[in-house]
Amino acid sequence: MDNIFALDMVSIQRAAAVNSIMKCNVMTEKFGLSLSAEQAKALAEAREETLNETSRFEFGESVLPKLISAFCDSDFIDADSYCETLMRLQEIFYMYKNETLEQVSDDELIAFMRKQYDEVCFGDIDYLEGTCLDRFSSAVRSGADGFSQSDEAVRWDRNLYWRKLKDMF
Amino acid sequence: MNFNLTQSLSEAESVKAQSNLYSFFVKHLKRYTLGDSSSVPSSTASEIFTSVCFVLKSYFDGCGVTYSALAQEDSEMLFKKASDYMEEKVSFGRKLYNSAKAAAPKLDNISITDTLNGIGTFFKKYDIYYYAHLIPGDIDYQLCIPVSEKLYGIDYINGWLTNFLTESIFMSRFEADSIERLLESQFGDYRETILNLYEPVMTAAIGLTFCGKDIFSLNIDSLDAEDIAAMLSPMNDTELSNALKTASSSLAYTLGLNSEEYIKKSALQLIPRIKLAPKNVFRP
Repeated sequence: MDNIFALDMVSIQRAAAVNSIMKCNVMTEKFGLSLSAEQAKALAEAREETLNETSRFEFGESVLPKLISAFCDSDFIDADSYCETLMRLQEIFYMYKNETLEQVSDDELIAFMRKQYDEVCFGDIDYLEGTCLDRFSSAVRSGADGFSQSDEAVRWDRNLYWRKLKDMF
Repeated sequence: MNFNLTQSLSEAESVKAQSNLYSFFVKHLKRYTLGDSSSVPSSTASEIFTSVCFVLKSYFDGCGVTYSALAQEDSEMLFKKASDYMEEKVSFGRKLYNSAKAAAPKLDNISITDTLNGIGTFFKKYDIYYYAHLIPGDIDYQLCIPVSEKLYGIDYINGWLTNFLTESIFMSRFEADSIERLLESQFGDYRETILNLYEPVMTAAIGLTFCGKDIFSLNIDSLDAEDIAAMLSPMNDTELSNALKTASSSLAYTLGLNSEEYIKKSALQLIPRIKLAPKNVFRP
């Protein structure tokens, strides 16, 4: 996708990402968390790298503000580990968007990640990535694969599907 | 496939056009994900972008709109007009499809049946908003004159249907028994073949035109084949080409068809085989 436009979309998007990350400090400062301009730039660059590695194209605003908003009040994030944790969460997010075959919205995935991070992983991000999300994505793929064999797609009850999925976890 | 929309524009126009196109593309992807995702797989983004460019290019080329409109006009409105134009092509395609089904030779050929069914499915699933450039993978039946590989999406399908209809109408001018006898002698069980069924009928009719015999019999015997070979063998390329064109015109006139150009084009494809082994081309 990078070669389609002569415009320097990467620079435009990076500047927008840094800007939106910095704006989040207003919300997160009350939890003792904030990011410097250098950290915001590092996160924006990590975003590009991860998008490249996961072969994804981000067309809207960076997902980082949503991740920051979702995780900033977690008891398992402190000021020292804030930037690094966000980098890992961002990486995991894009990876599992792929692993769940686009069946899970951004908000659904982030909500699941936050819930598992606090209530199951107790802040262990490796456990979140390697175990919780792995099981989750397998369950989603099984449901998606099983479902896609049906000809009656229009009658699929998405709410019922999600209730069942959440019950499993 | 390359649907470059900005290569003919000045640098300033190109920058503006790309900026407009990018803004539209972002909104288009948001619609695609129903606002649920801020990212998609790169392959998906690439396909959807190709589809957008294909639709816009079709509209620009088909309606005589200059590409600079991309820099000057609102991209949403442009895409709306372009997709309306594509809808018209799809509507025309459906009519062609219905005509093709009605005119298809009643020969119980699996390849024709499966291909027509596949095209029916194409019309049910064709997505002009996100995957307009795609061609279904199950078009097995081979036409005598293949559709250009430069065509995509509905353009390819409409091209295929037009040629298939032309061939079917040609074949409908002959008795089914005569065609079946000919095809059985050529293929054995023609019901299973994926080869083109019009070509042997056209070839036999052209051969009988050369002989001055009844074209509707589709029956060339060994002596006829030898006579035709003797007539054509001494000809150089130009003479052979002219002879085939003349025979094609005569055939089109006799059959009451306006597909003279198609018959000519398909007859001219016989030249390499005629030069190599003229008796075999028209053999019974």
